Amino acid sequence: MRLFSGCSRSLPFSGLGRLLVFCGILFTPKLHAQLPDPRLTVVTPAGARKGETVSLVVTGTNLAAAELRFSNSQISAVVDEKDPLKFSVTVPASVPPGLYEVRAAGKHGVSNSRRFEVSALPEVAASEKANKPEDSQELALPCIVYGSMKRDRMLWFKVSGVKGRPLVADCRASVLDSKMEALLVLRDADGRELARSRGKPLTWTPAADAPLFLTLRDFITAGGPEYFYRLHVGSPAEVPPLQLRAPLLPWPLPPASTPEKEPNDPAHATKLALPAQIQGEFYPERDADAFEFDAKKGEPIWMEVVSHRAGAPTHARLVIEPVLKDKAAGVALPEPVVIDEAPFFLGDVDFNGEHFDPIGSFTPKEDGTYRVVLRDINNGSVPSHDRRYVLSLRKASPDFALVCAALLPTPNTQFKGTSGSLLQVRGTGILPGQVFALRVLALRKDGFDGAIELCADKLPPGVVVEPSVIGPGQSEGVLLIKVAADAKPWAGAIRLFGTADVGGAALKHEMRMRIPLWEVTGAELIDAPRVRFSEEIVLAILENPVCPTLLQAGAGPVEGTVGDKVKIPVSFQRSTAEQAPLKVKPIGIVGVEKLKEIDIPGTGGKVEYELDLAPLKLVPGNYSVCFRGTDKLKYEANGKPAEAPVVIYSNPVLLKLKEAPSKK
Amino acid sequence: MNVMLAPDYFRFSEVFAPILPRFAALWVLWLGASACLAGSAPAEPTVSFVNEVQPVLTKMGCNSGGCHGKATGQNGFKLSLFGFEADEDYEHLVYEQRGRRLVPSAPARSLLLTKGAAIVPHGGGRRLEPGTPGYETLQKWIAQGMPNDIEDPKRPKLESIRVLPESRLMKAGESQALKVEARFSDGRTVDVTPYATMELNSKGMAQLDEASSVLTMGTRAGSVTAMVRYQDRVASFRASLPFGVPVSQLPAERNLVDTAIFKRLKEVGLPPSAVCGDSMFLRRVTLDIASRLPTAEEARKFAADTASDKRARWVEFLLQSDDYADTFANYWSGLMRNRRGDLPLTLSPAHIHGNFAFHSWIRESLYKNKPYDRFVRELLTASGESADAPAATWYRQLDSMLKQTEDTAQLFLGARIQCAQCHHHPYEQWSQRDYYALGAYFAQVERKVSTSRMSEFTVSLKRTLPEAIHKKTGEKVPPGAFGSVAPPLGPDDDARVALADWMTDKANPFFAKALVNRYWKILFNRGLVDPEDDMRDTNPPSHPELLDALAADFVRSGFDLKQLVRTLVNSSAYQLDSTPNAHNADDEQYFSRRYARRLSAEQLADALNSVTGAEDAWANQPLPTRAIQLPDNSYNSVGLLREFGRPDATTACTCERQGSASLGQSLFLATSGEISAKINAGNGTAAKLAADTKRSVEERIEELYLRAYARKPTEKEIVTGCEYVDKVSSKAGLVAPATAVGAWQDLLWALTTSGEFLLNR
Repeated sequence: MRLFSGCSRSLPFSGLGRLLVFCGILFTPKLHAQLPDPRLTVVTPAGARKGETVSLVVTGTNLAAAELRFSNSQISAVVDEKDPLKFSVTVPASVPPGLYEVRAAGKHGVSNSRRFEVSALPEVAASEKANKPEDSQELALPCIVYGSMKRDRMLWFKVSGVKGRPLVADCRASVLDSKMEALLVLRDADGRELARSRGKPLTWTPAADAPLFLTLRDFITAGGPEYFYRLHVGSPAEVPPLQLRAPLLPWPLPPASTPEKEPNDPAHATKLALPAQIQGEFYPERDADAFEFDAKKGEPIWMEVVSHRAGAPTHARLVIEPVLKDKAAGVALPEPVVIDEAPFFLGDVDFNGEHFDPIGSFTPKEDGTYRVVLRDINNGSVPSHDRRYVLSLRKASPDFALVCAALLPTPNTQFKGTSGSLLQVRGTGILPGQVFALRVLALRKDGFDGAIELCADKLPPGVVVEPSVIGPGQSEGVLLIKVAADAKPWAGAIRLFGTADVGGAALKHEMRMRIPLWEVTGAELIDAPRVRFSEEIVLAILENPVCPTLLQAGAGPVEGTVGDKVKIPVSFQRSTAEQAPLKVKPIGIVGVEKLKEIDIPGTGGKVEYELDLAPLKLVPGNYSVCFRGTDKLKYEANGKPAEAPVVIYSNPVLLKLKEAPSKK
Repeated sequence: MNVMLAPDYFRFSEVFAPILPRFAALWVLWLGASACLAGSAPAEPTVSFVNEVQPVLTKMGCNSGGCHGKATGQNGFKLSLFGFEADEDYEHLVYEQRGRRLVPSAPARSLLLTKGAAIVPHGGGRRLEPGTPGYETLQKWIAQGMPNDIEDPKRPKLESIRVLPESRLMKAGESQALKVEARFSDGRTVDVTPYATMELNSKGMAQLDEASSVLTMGTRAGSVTAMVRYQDRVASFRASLPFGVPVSQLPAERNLVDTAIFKRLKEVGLPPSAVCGDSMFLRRVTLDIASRLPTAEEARKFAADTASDKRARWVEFLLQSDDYADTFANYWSGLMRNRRGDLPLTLSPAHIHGNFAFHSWIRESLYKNKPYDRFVRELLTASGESADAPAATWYRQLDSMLKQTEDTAQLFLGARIQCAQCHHHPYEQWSQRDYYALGAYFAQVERKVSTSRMSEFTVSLKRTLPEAIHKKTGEKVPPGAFGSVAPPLGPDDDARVALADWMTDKANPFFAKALVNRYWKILFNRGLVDPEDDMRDTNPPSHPELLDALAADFVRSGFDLKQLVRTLVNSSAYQLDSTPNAHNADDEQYFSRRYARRLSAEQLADALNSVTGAEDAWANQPLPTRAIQLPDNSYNSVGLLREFGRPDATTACTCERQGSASLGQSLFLATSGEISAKINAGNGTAAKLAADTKRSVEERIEELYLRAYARKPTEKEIVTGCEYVDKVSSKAGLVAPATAVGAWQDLLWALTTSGEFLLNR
């Protein structure tokens, strides 16, 4: 029986706005063979023209008997009768051009996603023989050329240049999840280089009607099946800039209401009324944009720049100082306040969201007029209109955003501030009776440091989100989803949320998921791993086997004092005769993973875990902690007995911490 | 009254304090007596420690780097190198070891004099002769109680020195006494010849008697420079021994290069070689600008072209080609230390993206003929991630202010200031403070881990005043460089911009000269100042007017690099034959002929491939890629590139590239599998020529010569070649028109291992 036979072929992927939970349980490769999970490596081609049907081949592992699921339910796929990895994909003409996601869903669960591009242009496969100018593949424009770049290879294309008609060549690769970084070079018929572009569209306007030659290769001539690409060639109208759907920022800023108006150097600062959102650019080189505003003593003003996060090659710095109308002689000027960093750190394996946009608050010491000067440290000598920014000046509007990712079982020791030693791309296949976990990062805006409760929506029958909370001031926590032992097989999208009391108002925000794109092992560690936001969170419940182990912690909320120790009872039950003890350790609060591991005897006994709160340096409030261990799962694979490790999570335990009594 | 027993000499140390009361009365008595005696004698000028004592010590070699001037001193006595730190020297001389070195009451018994005169055993031998002016100066100074005028505002400050004469044409064996005049701030000009140190820059051409300051010319024609130093000022004297041959015929003067070169040749009486023939020119200029050999077709066409401007047109063609950009990108990329290999091996591959991007940026700048001042400005002021600002990769290897300072000076100002990090430059006027003033421009630079590549850096700026900490004094030194002062800079200013402004200013005396001299070296194989990045007063240019004129022309052109190359290679001087005439075989200074040099490692690899029809596959490069296009040092493990000295990009010095011949290279050419594989390639030139029965043997031999030498073979060479091919083919049992591939392989080997092939003549 196909896993998803009871499901409508059009799973509830309603497209935009849905989040996709990647329920991956990641193991380090040091562990034993794991439960098979479906993994999608490459889809070929990585897109199709709307209104057409294409033959699509998937590669990966554990994809047998799988169906294809697109994030746009209008796109359908029919498997080839002779080849289970080959599909006939139909894209109706009503599907708007753009980027979508595709997954393979089968008896092992639902795979990771890959991008799938829908276009409006004719498409043609790249000729592998076009390695020399004389063998150039001639292109009729506009078109999309698709393929996978081979190692140490360069492809030649020939197009007809028309005098005065701009030509755009946009090789989409990394945006499609490809490993390729495209290098395009345009030459004339004599071989003279006219233009080149790395990773960005190439634009050129011919001065005469003449043939032009376009070469394409990976920037370091790497290659292989993972180096797929789709090269769009045509006029600017035919090859417009790609619009990405998934928002880049944790929280939306109000639309920019004030365009920058030059001159606005420090001697001619623009007067503003707060709150203000200014849209501007760092142009020309060494541009300094200054803005003045009135502020009251003790009332913080939050300042945020959005530039690097939007893709500009900037590193902005804010310098705030009072505007002194009457400068008394001999009076020392107050030190300016400098904001050139963001308060939260997003740079690690799972998120790779590190950026150079400054975010911070300024609290005036006196009533008065103040000037903020905004500069780009990188804007030394090469003027460019790419250096755009939005500057937000506002009173504190505390808020939060949540980003989740798969939780790795062991901490990373090779990356500073990261959570996993290696990054694996896994499919979703949750066992009945299993509890699985997600790492949830809390991005706190404008000084919000309250607790955030985690919850879910649209869960299928038999699936619940255990109540948990990200404690006050904490940057991350754990969300646990429990699947009942008798839950039916299911696959679909769910929605996860966080709620918090922010200044008396109840705020609720939906989580977005960051997903890894490629395995990271060995030498790949030297580069920041490739991750992106997913469009949806998909949950898949397998039919069998049932998870044999249930880990339980606590018996209701645990009360304690900050800096003290609390005891939490932990026990587990197995549905098998296995007697081995289970090693568990706590997770869910920043720093708790460094605490010790303990053994729970395999006879069904329980232990008391003494949680030392002192090293965690918590403030009074509510926190959630749970426990994690790894047990063995015995199952049948192809009729033969097999064994695999399975990570077990307990229910979350609510810690209610109060202030430590003051010492007399 | 004499200035004696100054309070600072008489420290009331633990030695004297307990016994002071006993001697107090005697001391007072003595003072009074001295005063009376002094009052009756005429006042003697006070000996200046700075202007007289220290120069004596320098002249005698006491404070040289081989003796007491080295970092650890000698036998417990340390002086600053060449007396650049007067206060330290005074401290060591007068106070160290309780002042045992000097006896003012009996100066001749001072260790300073007894050791110096070897009256007592002295490891440094006899440096002083009693009764000589130097000895007398020291003795008088001691007798005066070692007056200290270091901080005395009335002390005349040395402003400059000059050597008289400054230059001269001399005859073989002729002597010239040198006079060194020092100009002081009080307006006096003083003859300081006895106290000035002198040194020749080339020992073989003349002799210099330091004691008498007399230079005696040798018998070899040419120029030699005597470097003169007094205190911290330097000057030079240039002596030239003409060749003395009448110069009646000179090639056409095409531009300012020829004007200056030929004028000098006439002055020194050295007739130049003739302008070279077409094939020599074609091969030379194609290698110099494009790092490749002309194809056989190009050589034929060029030879057949009768237009008078064909050479200039060919130059223009090369300048507009990708090959020009590849050649000079290779040059600059190496000097800018674009390299992999400094990280642990597991991380080293990570630099590939940054290196490739940096090389690509350099190449594109050259291809588009970006003005040199803008190129340097963008490099110096680069900030951000290498993906967005490839030039910022430069700062990855230059990971300290020291390296940034030294490389900037060496690459763009032609100055090797490494010495000045720790002390005043021994052969230049730059002080330690100058070093840190230049370094202050980089004081704000910091590096952070890249957001996109964890093994890369992003270059950022600290919000701080640009100041460098003087290594010795701890002073915060503001930016300034080589005699200039930066405008006021605040913490929000990028001081590097001010540096770029100063460097690229049209009036900057170093920037343009350094570049034109560098390019002169590239094309003429010897700089007007050589080494090309060691331009200092004591290493003067061979043709100072030419250097000035080229620099001015370069500035006027808008720092146009292609125009500079155009000017240089279109001159008759560049196009002189490398074959010496009867007179100029030994010339190494006057550019009376082309100075041949070995092909560079990359040129040789590509030349071999172009002649043998082989192709090299390089990691992370598409096919075909020439060796000259390789973006960084990671390819240097390959046999030929390593053997022929491709630099590893660890320094900013062109001297890292090995251009000389070696036994290893000869053996490599003769025996290496790499060379054999190229020659014997199954689809290579030898195989194709052997299979080509449509053309005659003569025609095929001609093609080989055109490809290898850009010329047709002589009659004798054709005959020799044909005979050889026939002989080998017959031995192999082949009948014409069939020929043995082995014959062609042997011919290829002979051609490619010849001097004519290996040299760029």
